[in-house]
Amino acid sequence: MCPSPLFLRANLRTMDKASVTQELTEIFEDVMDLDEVTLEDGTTANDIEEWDSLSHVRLIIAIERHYGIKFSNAEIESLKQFGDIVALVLTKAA
Amino acid sequence: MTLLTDTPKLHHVGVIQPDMEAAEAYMALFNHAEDYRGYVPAFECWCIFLKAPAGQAAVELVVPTGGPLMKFNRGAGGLHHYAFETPDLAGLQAEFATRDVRMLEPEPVQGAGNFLCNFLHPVSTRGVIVEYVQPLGPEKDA
Repeated sequence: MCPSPLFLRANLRTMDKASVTQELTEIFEDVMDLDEVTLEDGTTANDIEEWDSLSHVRLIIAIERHYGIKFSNAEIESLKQFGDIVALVLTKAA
Repeated sequence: MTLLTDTPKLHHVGVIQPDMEAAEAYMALFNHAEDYRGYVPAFECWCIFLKAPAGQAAVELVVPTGGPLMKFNRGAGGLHHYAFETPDLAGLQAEFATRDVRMLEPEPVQGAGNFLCNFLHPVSTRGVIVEYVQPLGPEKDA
């Protein structure tokens, strides 16, 4: 059984950047249907063929549901590279 | 006064086809007939509108020649968007802006037929692709 978003949001507060990066990488691979991908802070949509405006929205929704958090439209549009996503998720946990 | 009616009229449903050959095969499969077509540079695609009963929504086959549409569904195409009619697309765009909802193009663009069009940004709809169309003349006012 999957943990509830409330549990995950609470759990997020105890996670460090490396742990969040690992989880976000797994979510990214699932959403983009990629077997294995190396994501760095500076990775952008230009580096990943499957990462376009639509899959970006799917990725954000998956992250929202996974952690039980919400992003505003402006926040979603401000996310230009993978490191931005990690940083914003960590901010939401704070 | 709002331009967002609670009884929106569906103008068309858009289906992406990977290429013209696939579009023609799709039309043949369902015995569809072409009504009109046009190229929309802003979205880098041919748009083929299929005949529909008068006043009813049509099916639009979208054949990309480049840009993001080429990558939709990993290039395989498929059901892509639906489009509502509005009498005033620029006004609607301004109204959406007050709701923190923006559209893809800064101004309405000329569509494949006698209409203006623009899409809501997918961020605003959480990934659902919605287009608005403003008919410009009675001949394609369906």
